[in-house]
Amino acid sequence: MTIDGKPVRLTFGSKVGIYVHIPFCRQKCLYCDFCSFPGVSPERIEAYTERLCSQIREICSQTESLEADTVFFGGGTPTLLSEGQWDRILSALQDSVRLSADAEITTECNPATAGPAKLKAMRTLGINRLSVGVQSIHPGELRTLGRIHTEEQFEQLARNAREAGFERISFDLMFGFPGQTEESWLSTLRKATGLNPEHLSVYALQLEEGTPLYRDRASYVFPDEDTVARMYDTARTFLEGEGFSRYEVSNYARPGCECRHNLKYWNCEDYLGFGISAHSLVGRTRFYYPGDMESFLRGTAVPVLEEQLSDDRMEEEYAVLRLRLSTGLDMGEAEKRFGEHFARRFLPVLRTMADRHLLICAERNGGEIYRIPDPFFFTENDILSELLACVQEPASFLK
Amino acid sequence: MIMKETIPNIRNFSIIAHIDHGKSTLADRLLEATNTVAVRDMENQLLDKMDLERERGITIKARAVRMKYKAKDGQDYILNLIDTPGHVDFNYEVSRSLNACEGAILVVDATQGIEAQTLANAYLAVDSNLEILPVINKIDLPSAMVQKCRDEIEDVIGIPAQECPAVSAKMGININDVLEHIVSDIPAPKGDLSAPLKALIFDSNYDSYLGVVINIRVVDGVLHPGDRIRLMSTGAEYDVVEIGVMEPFGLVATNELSAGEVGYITASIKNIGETKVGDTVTLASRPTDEPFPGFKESHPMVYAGIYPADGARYEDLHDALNKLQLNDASLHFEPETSIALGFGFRCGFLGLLHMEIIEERLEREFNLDLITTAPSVIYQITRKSGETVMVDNPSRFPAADEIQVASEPIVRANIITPSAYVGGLMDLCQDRRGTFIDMKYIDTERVELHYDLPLNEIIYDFFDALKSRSRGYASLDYELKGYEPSKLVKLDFLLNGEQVDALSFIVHEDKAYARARRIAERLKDNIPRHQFEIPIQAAIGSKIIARETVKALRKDVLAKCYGGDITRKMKLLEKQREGKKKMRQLGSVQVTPEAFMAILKLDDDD
Repeated sequence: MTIDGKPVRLTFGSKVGIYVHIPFCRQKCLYCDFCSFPGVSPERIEAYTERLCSQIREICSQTESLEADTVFFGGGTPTLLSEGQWDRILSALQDSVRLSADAEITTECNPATAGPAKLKAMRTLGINRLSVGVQSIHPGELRTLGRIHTEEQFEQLARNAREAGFERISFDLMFGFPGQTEESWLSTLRKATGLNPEHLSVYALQLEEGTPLYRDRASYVFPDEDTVARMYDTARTFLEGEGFSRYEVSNYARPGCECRHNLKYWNCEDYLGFGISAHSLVGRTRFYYPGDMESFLRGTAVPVLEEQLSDDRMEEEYAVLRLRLSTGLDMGEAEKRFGEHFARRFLPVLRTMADRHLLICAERNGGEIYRIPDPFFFTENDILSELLACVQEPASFLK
Repeated sequence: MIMKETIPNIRNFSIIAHIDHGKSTLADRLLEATNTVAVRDMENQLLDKMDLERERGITIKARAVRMKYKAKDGQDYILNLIDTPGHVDFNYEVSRSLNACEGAILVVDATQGIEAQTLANAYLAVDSNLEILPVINKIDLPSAMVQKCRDEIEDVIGIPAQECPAVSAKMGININDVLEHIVSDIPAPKGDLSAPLKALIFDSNYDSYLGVVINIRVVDGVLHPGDRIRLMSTGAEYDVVEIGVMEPFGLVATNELSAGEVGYITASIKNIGETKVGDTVTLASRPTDEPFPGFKESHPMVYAGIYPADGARYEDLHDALNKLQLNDASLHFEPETSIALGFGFRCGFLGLLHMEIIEERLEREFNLDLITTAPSVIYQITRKSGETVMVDNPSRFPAADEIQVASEPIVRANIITPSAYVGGLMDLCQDRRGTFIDMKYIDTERVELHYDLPLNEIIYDFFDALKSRSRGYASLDYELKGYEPSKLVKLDFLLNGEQVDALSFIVHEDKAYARARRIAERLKDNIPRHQFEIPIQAAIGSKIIARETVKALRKDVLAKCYGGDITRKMKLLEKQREGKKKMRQLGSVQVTPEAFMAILKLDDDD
C-alpha cells in the first residue's frame, strides 16, 4: 500500500489486532470527539459497509500471511449495523485474514440499538465480546452527556446479551462530568457490577475541544480536581472489593478477562485499522485514514503517515505505555524486544526515580520490574514526563 | 617643563541628560547636520548600538564618534562626541566618559524641566571641570516652557542659560545653533605634542578579530602604529597594530593620533583584564611621569548570585562574564557555590537596572539560561568577637547570637516631583524606613525632596513604586551616604523541610513577618503541584514565622489511550517534559526559575 504517496510494504511479525471503525450514531454524545456521523440514512450506512468490505479485501490481498487474534469494532455505534451488514463485514474479514480459532472479536454496543434478535445474530456470526457504552444509570446524567439510552435498556441489554451467549461483557462508565456526585457515581458502579460484567472501563471525562460540552463549558459546573480524584479512588476501591483488578489506568477485569485487543495497544504490538479515522501501527509506522467520508465512499481515501517511529522513540513509547499497566515495565521483556540498548538508556533513570519513590521496583527472576505506585496512577503524566525528560536529557537531570 | 598648547580645531564633548530628555536623538541630529551620516543611512539613534539600548530607549554603554564641521567662522573643526549612559546606575560610566572631554551638552526637556538625573549629571560634569552647554530640547511640543526652563537652569544649577540653544532634536530645529555653540563655548583641548605620550582609556571593547579595542583620549604626545605602549596600572606592554578614529559605521585607521584627539588602539591584546578603564596609556620607550590619578572608583551597590540553568554551562557563563566585564568595568564577579543551585557567580552591580541589563545581555548575546537570586546589598557585621565583616551574600550572614552590631548601607535620595504627589511619595519613603531630611520648592509646582533611605529598601522596586505614585513624573537620584546600625534578621525558606540557601535574604526585623508571608505565597505560585504535598516555611533562625502548602497533584492523566490516542499522549508528555526542563530541582522539589525572583516583588498592593 502507499502511505503519504510512498509505497510501504506491510509485514507483520506476529498476530495482529484488527480495528474496524463504524462512524455512525443516532445522536452524538456531548463529550464525544470521535469521528462519527449522527442520524445518517440507511443508504449511507449500506454504502459505507460496501466500501469497508472492499477495503478489507484490498489491503489484506496486498499483505502476506496476515494473521489476527483480535478484532475490535468501534464507533460511533457499530450496533446500528443490520444483521446482513454484520454478516458481510465479518465474511470479508474471514475471507482475507487468518483469524485464530480463539480470536477475541469485540464490538462496542449502545443499549438503545441492540435488541435480543440482533445480539443473537451477532453472536452467531462470531462476535464474542461486547463493550457496552453505559456511562451512567441516572436519567439526568445521561441527559447531560447526551446519551440516548435508559437505565432499563441497559439492564435489558445485559440480560439479552447473556441469553444470546455472550460470555465476555464489558461496561464503559464515566465519572467527573457536570452534575455527577460522589454518591451517584457509587450507585452507577453498584448497578453496573450487579449485572456481573467480566470487564469495566472506567474513564474520567476528558473535555475535548470541538465538542458541545467544551463549547458550553462555562455554563456547566465541573467537579473539582480533588473530587474527580476521589471518584477515581472510589471506583478502584469499590471494584477491587468486587473482585475486579485494575490492569490499566482506566480498565478493570476479572482474572483472565482483560481485553486482549486493547493490550496490543499498550504492548506496542501491531494493529491494523479499517474504515475512516482508523489508526494502524505496523512495525515502526503509524498511519491512519482521514475522517473524510466522501473520499472514502469514492474509494479514493489514502492513508496518512502519523509518525515514523525511531528506535529511541519506540522504546520511549513502550516504556510509557507499559507503565500504564499494573504489570508495569518488565526489564527482561524490554530487553528481549529492544536489546541491551533499552536498559542502558532507561535503567539508570528508572533506578533514580525509584529512589525518589516515584516508581516501585520489584524483582522477578533476577530481572527488575518497574511500576507506578498505586496512589500515583491518576497523576502518572507527571511521572512519565519526568521519565522522558531524564532519558532524553541525562546531562541536565542526572547530576 | 611641559608646554601646553591649544589644539584649536578639535572639540571633545559629551551629552548628558535625564533619561528620555532626548540625548540620543540630539546625537543623531548632530551626525546628520555634519554630514557624518547621510539622512538616508540614519537609523534612529545610531549611537545606541546594542539592541537592548534601542529597545529600552536608554544608553548603557559609552560610545564615541568623530564628526567634521565647517563652522561659520570658515574653519573646519573635528568634533568628538562621547556619548554617556543616562541612568543613575551608570554614574561611573558617565564620569569616565566626561574625563575625556572639555565640555558637556546638558540636554533639558522643555516640557519637564530639570529632573533628578539632570542635576546629578550636571554635578558630575562640574566635578570634572567641564564647560557645560545647556540645550533646551523638545520645543516643538505644545507644552514646552522654554523660558521657564532657562530660568530653572540658572536658578537650580547656576549656569547661564538665557542664550543657550533651544531646539527640537526630533524635528531637526536649531541643530546648527548647537554646533556653533560647541565650537564657540566648549574650550579647545590643550596638550603638549612633544611631551611623552599620555592617553586616557575611557572605554574598551572586545572584537573577535582585532582583540581588545581600546578607546583613548590623547592628552599629550603622539602615537603611531608600531609603537610599543605600556598600560601604566599593570605595566603590561604591547606593540600597537593599528590606530585610528571612530566613525559611525566602524573604525577608520590613521597614521597618527596626537594630543587632543580621540581614537582607538588595537595591539593584539587578548587578555581582557589588562585594559582598565581609567588607566593611562604611554610609550614604553618614553613613559610619562604623570599618569592619570584614576577615576572615581565604581563600587557595586547590589549583589546577586547568577547561575547557569544548565550546570554544564558554568564555563560558558564564566567566559561571558569576562567578556562583558571588558566593556563594563563596573561589573564585578567571583565564583560562588550554592547547595541549591550548584556552581555560579556572585555578581556585583551598580544597581538593579544594571543587573537586569547584564542578565539580559548574558541571555541574549551569549544564549545562556540563567537563574538569578534575589539581589542583596552589602551589610557590615561586627561579630561579638570584635571582628568586622562585609556580607554580600545572605547565606553568609552570621547567626543572630554571633552579631554585635549589624549595619546597612544608607543612601541620600534626591527626589524631584510635582508638588501634587509629595504626600504619596513621603508615605512611600516612610514605609521604606526613610528619614526625612528636607524639602525645597524649585518653583511653585515642583518640589525637591531629600530622604535618607536604607539601600535594601530601594533596590527592588522602589523606582517602580515612585513612578506609579507620581504618574511617572517623579525622578530619583541617590548616592551612598554610609552605614548605619539596624535591626536586621536573616529570613530563610524551607521547601519540604529542606532549607534552600539561594532563597535566604536579609530584612529589617519589623518587616520580616509581612514579607515572609508574602514571599511564601509567591513561592507557592511558582512551585508546580508534585506527587506529594510540599510545605513552604519561612524561618528566622529556628522559628517558623510563615507557612504555605503546595497541595499534591491529584489528576494528571489521559484516561483513554488507544490506537488513535497514543501519538497525542506522547505529544502531551513531550509538552510536559519541556516544562520540566525549565524546572530547577531543589532536593525533592522542582521549582520554576522565576521562584528566585519572586522574592523581589514586594509591592504592597497585591
